Amino acid sequence: MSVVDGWKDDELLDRVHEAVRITDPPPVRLRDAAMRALTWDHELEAMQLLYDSAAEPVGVMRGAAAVTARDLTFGDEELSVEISITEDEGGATTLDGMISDNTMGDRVIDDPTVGVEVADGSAGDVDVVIVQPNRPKRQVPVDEHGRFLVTVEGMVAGIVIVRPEGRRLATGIFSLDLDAG
Amino acid sequence: MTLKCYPLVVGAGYDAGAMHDPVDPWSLQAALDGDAEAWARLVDEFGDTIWHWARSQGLGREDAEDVAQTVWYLLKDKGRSIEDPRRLPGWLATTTRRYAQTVSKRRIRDSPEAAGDMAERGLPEVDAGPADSVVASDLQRRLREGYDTLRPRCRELLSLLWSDVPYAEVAETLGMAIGSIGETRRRCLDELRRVANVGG
Repeated sequence: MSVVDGWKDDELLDRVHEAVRITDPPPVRLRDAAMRALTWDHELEAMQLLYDSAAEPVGVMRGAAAVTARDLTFGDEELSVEISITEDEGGATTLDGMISDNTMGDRVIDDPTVGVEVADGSAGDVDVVIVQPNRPKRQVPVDEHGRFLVTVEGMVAGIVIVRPEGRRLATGIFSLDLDAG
Repeated sequence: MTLKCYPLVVGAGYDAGAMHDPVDPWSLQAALDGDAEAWARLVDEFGDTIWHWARSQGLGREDAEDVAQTVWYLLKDKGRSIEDPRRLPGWLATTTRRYAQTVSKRRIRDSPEAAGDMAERGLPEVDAGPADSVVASDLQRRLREGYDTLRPRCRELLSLLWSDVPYAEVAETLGMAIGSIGETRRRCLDELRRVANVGG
């Protein structure tokens, strides 16, 4: 008879737990990463989530090349950022963002690449940094209209916006998984 | 809802002699308010568990690490949406499961040949942990390998149960009837006995 014959269910559960724990420990660095999650938005001003298309009853389809999309708007009284998350057929996820200075009022943008359109005051004089778990922070270029376009990997992201006078604002962490909402 | 005794002893950091708030047994609110010690206790309590939940979904170590880190960021950012802090384990389990499945889908989409492998074998090859990890006994290796060959549903269930997640939250997380958990647990453990050849 094996020494393990007769194990009751509770004991077997404990034993397999122990076996998995010993043979498959998490990386030591994972604890440090979990601790960093506490401070990722330290000393940043939180922008409120103002709109989330995932909360709408029917999903939004955008553009011929995009398979699915989700639109988010974060902001406060002075600044807002609209973000469209798209995933193409190849599985690449793109953030298409537009930052607006809400204190500037509407103005006309006359740009040959985008045509003539009336838009909220643009906020192109800002820095945008993408924050993601398990990935280095990335500063992304912002054009003079406050637009940025970046391909991302991973499952979630947050965006930090740094204004010239030093204000640092952050969106919440949002999911890049268009099914997760 | 039937709740087991809180707090759950799922990690190494729980001090059984300490006083705990029965309404917020893991000091979640303090942690979300920026209390580094409270956050560290959460990490010590649930860190390994989240990792094993992610692994139970069939993820490799790199992907499981990605998912685990994501869960901590989401907890920091969305944790205030947990109306009853006693349900933290269920929230963590559900979030881990959701994002682990997202990664699994991407892996299968990007590499369709991986689909059969993940579905049939469950876990990828048992890749080596840190070189200084505790040397496993032959019995532990058999149990681990047997666990890896279980159906994904069994791995999920067992990993939730050994973490002492209350049955009600297990049922909610896995979308199964609470009354079926006991019988499913028994069948999964019987399957483990058979594939790991541990008798009983």
